[in-house]
Amino acid sequence: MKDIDEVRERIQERKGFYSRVNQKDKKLSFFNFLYFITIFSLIVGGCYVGYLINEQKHFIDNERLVNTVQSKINEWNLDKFVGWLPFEGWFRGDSKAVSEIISYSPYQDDYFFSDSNRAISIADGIVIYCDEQESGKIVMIKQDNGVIATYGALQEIQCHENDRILKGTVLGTYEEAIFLQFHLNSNKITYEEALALGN
Amino acid sequence: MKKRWHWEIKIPILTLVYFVIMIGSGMFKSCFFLFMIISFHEMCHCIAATLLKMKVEAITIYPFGMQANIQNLGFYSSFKELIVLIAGPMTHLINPFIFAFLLNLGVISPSMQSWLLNINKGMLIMNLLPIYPLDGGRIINEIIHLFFPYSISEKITYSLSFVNLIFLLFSKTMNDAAGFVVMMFIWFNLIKSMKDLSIVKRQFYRFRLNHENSNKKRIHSYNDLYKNSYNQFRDGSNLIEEKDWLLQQFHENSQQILQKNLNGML
Repeated sequence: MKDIDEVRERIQERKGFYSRVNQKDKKLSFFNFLYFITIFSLIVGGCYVGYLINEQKHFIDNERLVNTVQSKINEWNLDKFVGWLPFEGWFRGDSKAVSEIISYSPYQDDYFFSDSNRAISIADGIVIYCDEQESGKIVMIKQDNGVIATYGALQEIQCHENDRILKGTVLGTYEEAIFLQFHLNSNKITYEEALALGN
Repeated sequence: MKKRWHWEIKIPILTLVYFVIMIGSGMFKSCFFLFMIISFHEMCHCIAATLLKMKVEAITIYPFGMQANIQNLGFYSSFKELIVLIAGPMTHLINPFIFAFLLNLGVISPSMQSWLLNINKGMLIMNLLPIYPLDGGRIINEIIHLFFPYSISEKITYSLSFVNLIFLLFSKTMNDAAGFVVMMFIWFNLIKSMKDLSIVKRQFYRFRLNHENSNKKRIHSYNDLYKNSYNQFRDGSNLIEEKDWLLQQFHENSQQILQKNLNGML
């Protein structure tokens, strides 16, 4: 193949000026690159200008659009596709039950405590909300089984929103007690019921 | 030289549909990282292949990453192909350092890093499974080619892969929806490869006819080529050179086709 390339180069050189006009030389490649950057900038700039105009004139109601899309997604149950994520459950060996990793004991109302001061997820899910409140930091997880788990009164959070959380993952740390609340289909359920669903 | 780095990229509609579904299900961040890990894996295959002067025909972007189609992969020497095949799994040894770097920058959280390490481990193990057409199966295939002629090597590889796939099925280590789909995909790929063996063998012969072979000489009387050797065929007291043998194969084949066409016309 090297010989063929050398022969091609010699033919090109013999053609002279005519071949140089048709060849893609360095200047032409640089022009192509500039052209691509210009078109790309025009598209991005156009979209941004459209967004700014919409902010002033409100041609499209962004919030209503998002809510409509979200309601359609909930209608189609697209969140059930969570189980189709590959690799995460493969070759994990014998997965331990959460009670073997951590055991929360009741403290007061919805407050619990454990041997360590780490907040550990009781089931697989996605972090839907992370924020700081008066009582401390809060993490809400939408579990694969449909339960919305709230871990509150945290000192430190070790996850971000939209993170994928597996059973036994450390979410953060707490000082004295952790706030735990579980909801399924807008109904509050107990810690034991949530644990049974998670296993 | 510039054309060597010109890779065609294909995006099936299924990929776009999948991404829309993932955005809707709130899994976009996880799927994005999964896509990047698999893509890094395939890109390293492509880069290794391109550096070794193999042509990358196209890169197809599937929902779970990319698949590189390298022209004539399986026809080059085992040493060259092993470099290309090992380049992919090597990325999974580098990934933990990349995750640690991203954690330091604050791009990912500790829980995300833990998830990514889990995914990376799963991907590495799966890729190294001795099942064709996974990387592990192809590596085993290249090792078998060191000892057996082409057809026999391929048949041994496929047989081993079927047995290992059945073990994997009964081991329940990939017992979720995605695992089932992947195993079915591998199953059909294996059946297709076995069905196409005779065609691929002809393509291999044509490749050997059109390319130089500077391997070590091997004298034998099999009616097939050893991939990693310059073959010389024993015909009584004579020795037939590889190129002559290949020309004879294609001549016989064309005679057969000609005879068939004549019979059809008559």
